[in-house]
Amino acid sequence: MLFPGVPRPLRLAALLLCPALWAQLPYDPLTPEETAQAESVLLADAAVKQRLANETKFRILYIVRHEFDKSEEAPPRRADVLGYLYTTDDTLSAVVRLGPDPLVEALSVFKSPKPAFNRDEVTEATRLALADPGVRAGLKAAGIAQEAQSKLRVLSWPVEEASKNDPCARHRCVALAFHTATGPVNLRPIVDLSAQRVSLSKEKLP
Amino acid sequence: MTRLRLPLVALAWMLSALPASAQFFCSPPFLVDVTFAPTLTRWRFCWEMRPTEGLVINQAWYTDRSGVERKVLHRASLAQLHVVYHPGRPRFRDLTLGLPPSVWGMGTLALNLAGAECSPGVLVEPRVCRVVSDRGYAWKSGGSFQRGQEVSVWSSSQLGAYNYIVKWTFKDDGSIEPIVGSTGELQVVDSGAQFLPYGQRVNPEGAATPLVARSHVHNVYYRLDFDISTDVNNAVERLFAYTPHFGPPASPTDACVNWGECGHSVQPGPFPTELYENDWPFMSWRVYNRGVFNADGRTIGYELFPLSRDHWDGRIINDEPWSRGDFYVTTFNGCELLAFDNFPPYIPAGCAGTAQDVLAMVSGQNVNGADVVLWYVTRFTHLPRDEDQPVMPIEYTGFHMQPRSWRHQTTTLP
Repeated sequence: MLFPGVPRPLRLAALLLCPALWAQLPYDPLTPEETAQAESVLLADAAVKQRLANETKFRILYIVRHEFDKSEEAPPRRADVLGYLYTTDDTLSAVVRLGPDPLVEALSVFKSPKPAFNRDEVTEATRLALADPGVRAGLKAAGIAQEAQSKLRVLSWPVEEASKNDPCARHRCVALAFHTATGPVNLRPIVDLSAQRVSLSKEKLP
Repeated sequence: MTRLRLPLVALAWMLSALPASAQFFCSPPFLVDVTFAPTLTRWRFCWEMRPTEGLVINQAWYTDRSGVERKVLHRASLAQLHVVYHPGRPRFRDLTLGLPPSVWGMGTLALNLAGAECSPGVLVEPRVCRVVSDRGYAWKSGGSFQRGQEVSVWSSSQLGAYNYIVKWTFKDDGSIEPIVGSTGELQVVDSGAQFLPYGQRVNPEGAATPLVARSHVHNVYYRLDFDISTDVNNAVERLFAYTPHFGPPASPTDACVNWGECGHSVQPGPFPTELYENDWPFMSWRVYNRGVFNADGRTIGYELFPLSRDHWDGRIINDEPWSRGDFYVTTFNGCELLAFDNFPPYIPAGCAGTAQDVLAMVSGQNVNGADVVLWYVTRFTHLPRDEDQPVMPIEYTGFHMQPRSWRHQTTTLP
C-alpha cells in the first residue's frame, strides 16, 4: 500500500494529482488490494471453479508477488497463489496477472509435495486438539488444569514418515507439542485437518 | 488555516517522496536507503518477506565515498537450511517439506515482533526490524580513526522448537554480512542410555534414565545472484590464504622457500565452467566484472569468506549429493532458487522441470563472463550444553562479503 498510515482521503487525493503513484514499483510486495484481486480472479477462473465444484473445504495458504524474469523489461504485476483442497488433498498453484487486464496465466494441481502449513492451519489444528477428550485428559494428567490449557505454547510440524496405511500419508496432518514455561508436555497430538480427526502419537525414537 | 495546512503538508511530503523511490526499484517501507553519517557512503536495497526463503534482498547498490553508485547484488536469499542430527537422522529441511516431510518455510513462520525486540531500530512491518547502528572503528591508524555504521534488516522464524534469527547487515565500507542466529529450545531430547553416544546429557547424573540432547549440524545454504556493476560479464576466481599442500612440509621453513608456496595467492584466470568446491584448508572466492575497472586498472569485485563455526564432516548420503560442496558457481536461472527441493510449490508455478538441487545445476555451462550465481554454505555444529535449557542462548553462523578492488583505496575515505 502506498504511504501506509496516511489517511485514505489524502492517499486518494495524491493519486488523483499524480497518476504515477498508481503504479507499484517492481519489487514492492503485493498490496492488500492486489492480494484481494488475485484471490477474486483465481476464484472466478473457469478451470478453478470446476476444480472447486465438489470441494467442501478450500483454503488459500498464501499469495505472494510473482518474481518476474530478469530479462522482462516492463513486466506486469503478478501473484503466485497457493491453495489446498482438503477433500481431495490436492495442492493448487496458480500465477495470476493483476491490474486492468487480470488473468490466471498458469494453473497446476498436484498431490505431492505438500506445501508448508500456514498459521490458520496451525490455529485450526490447535483448536481441534484442545477440544479432543484424549488430549484434554492427557494435559490434565500432566497437571495442567483445563482453564490453563488454552494458554499453552504450541509448536507444530508435519507428520514424519507416516506408513502407507496411515491416513496422514495422504491427508494434511499436523503434529503438535504443548509447552509450559518449564518445558514440553509429554503428549504428541496428531491433527488430521482433512478428516478433522485427532489422535495421540507415541514419540518416535530412531 | 491549520486544517488546510495539514493536507498540503502531507501532500507535499507524498510528492517529495516520489522522485527518490521512483528512481529505485521499490518504495518505503520496503526500500532501505541509508547514507551513513560518518563516512557518507550509501546502501540502497529492497527487502521482501517470501514464504519459503523468508527475508530476501533485492537490488543492493553501494555508493563508496567517491560518490559512484554501482550494483552489487540482484537478489540474495537463504537457499536452504539442512539440519542433520547424530547419528544420521532426523534430517530436517527447514525451508521446505522435502521427503521425508519435515519442516516449513522461513517466511510462513516468521513471527510478529514487539517494538522492544527491535529497539533502537524500527519495525518496517510487523515481522521485519530495520536498525542502523554504530559498528565501532571503520579503521584506526595511530591517532587517526574513523567510526563506522551499518544497517541491518532481520526477522525471527519459529520452526518447531527452534527460533531462527535471519539477519542481513550492510556496512558502510561496502561489506555485507548475512548471519543466522539459532535460539529457542532444544528440538531433539531423547530418553535412554542408548542415546548417550550421540549428545549431551541434560538431566542430573544421578537420575535413573538419562535425558540426552542430541548433537546436530545446521547447514545454512545461501543463493547470491551477484551483478557486479552489470548482470553480464561477471566471473569468479579463487583465493587461497596459502597454497594448499596435502601433507606436512619437510621442515617448518621449507614450504616458504619458493614463490607461490606460502602467502596469499590468486589462482590464475577465472573459472571456465560451473562447479562446486570445499573451503578447506582456507579458501575464499571473488566475483568480479571483467569489463569494469577501479582507478588503478584492476577489475572491481567482491570477496566471500566464512565466519563459520564448523565445516561439513562428510556425512553425505546417497540422496543428498548436493551436500558435498561449500561453494557453488552456476549461471543465472530465475527458477534455480533453492539448494535442494527446488520444485513447486517451494518455487514459483511454472518452474517445474528445473534442476532440483544445486549440484544438478552445475552442468558445465560457461561462467566466465556470464551472469553468475554463487551458492555459499555455512555450518554450525551444535553440541548441546547444560546452558541450552530451558532456552538456548543465541549462537550465530554466517559469512562475510567485502569489496575487493571495488575501489583503488579505502572505500570510506574521500
